[in-house]
Amino acid sequence: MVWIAAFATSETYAAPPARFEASALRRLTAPTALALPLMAPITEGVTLDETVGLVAGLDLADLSQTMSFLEGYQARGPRFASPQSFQRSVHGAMAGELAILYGLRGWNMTVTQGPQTGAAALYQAWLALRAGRCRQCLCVVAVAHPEIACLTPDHRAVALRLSATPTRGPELLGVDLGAGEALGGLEPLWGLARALESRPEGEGWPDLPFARLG
Amino acid sequence: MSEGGVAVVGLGVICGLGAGLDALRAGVLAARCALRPLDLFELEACAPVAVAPVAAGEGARTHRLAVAAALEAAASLDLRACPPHRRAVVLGTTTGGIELGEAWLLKRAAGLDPDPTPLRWHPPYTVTQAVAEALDARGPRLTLSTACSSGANALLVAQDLLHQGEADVVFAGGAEGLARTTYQGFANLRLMSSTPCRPFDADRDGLSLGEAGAILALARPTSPWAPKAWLLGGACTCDAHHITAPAPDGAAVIAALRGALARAELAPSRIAYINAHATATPANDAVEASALRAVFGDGVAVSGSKSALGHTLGAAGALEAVLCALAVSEGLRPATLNTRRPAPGAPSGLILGQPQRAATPYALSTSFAFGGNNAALIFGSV
Repeated sequence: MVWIAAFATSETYAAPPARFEASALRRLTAPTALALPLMAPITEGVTLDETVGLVAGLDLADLSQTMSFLEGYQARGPRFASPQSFQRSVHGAMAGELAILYGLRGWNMTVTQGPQTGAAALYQAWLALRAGRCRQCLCVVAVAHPEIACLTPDHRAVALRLSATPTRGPELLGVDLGAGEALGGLEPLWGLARALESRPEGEGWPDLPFARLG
Repeated sequence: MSEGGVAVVGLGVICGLGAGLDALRAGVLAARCALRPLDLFELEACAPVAVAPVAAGEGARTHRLAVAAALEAAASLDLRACPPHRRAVVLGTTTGGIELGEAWLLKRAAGLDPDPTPLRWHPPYTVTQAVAEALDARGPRLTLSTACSSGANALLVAQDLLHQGEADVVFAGGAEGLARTTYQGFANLRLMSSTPCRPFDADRDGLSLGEAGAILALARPTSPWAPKAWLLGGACTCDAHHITAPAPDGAAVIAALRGALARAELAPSRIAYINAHATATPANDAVEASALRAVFGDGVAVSGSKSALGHTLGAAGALEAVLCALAVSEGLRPATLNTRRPAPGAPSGLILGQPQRAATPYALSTSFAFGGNNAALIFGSV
């Protein structure tokens, strides 16, 4: 069984936690920079050992890095395309960067599912806990869309901590990927976090189309 | 068989050795190296690559590789036994249709205003979508992108889907087509060799890229389809050390190996064959050899099959899982090609030059990736 233990949202590139040196933060990808301030609220009081998993969700990774690589390629020639931009353009960069910063050595997965990304990341985290891959799982989903054709600029992140042991939060009974897709990208998790945040004390858990809470 | 094993009921593959399992088997038996000079696109760098016979069709190379492999994996299955909503697809890929995205971005960087229509194939999830549509799979679809371990992780997640009753059959694996971005990116990171790669060689100087699609049809032991092999278990860990360099102590790699053994309920001594990640970069091979020795000791048979097939990135873990399935089902263990002088500390059981034929009850595959991601899978014979 799986419970929601903590959650946090962000729609700005907020200042990262003071515990990190500036040099460690300077070259982070945009999704990581968005998500980093959410790590403290969802990991408070948690021992971050190998039993804590991480599931990252990204629809397009850091597209600005792909663009930077190809702009260098075009302007100065292939040999001058930035290798740093190349390595930061991969979808797994956020999960790797967060793992390095927080010493997360357990289950480490990156999900990219277009309009289902938010719901699919939550589903993968739920599945990992049910399968015993971890005892707690940080589910971090970030959207960092630069201004480019076909994309509406969007910079938001949502993070949840799920647990295999009961918490004060709701039990996550299941995730409906189809309903999540209808909401689009980050919206399911954004809506979930906001619904939990705004729930009046003493009232039941919100009724959500893509996530069954109990 | 461990309690958690799932059946491998179908295999599909397309890679530098050809299209189909028969072509892969023939190439492995002949110890053929698929690496050849780059002619897919014009670039100044001149490292060899393994190019697959990609058919014309919709989408990018990655989409067509994935669909070709998936159709072969499903070919021997009567899918009428499984309703569409119980068929899941879990794919690993790193670039999706990036060749179309890069063409658009390069034109844009040149100051043009290109038609954005081909960008619809750019996101990796569209590869999973193409496979799901080809197989009329309407159950869960997941696209994993953990760089070079993506294909292996797809198989781990597929196993979890079956265990949790979320699907009755899962088409899982990886696909990756060659593109300018990946080729030049690895070249500019100075990770590529100018000659066909030499895993575990004392003079190894980098990797060789390739492309592939590799899909395994996985089902629960009670499925109506005859198993060809068992996927017994696996594990995934993270170095938490560096984005591109492996942690020198190999602790997280060792944890992945031990985790996979625990999941498969096997002692290390039961593993008869290891298909190593073996990219032939100096750092990766050294850490991997040390970790394998720490867990398995000396003597276990080891292949570095990227010496024949190239490093197929998001497909690599799945392609090497297919090789492990061949090892446990047919006793065929691929050779490590191009390696002339094994490095001090290289696996003592390295299979050099020619493939081995030997009964292989259990085989293990390793995959490592940017971001410090490590995956290990264990297969067993029927």
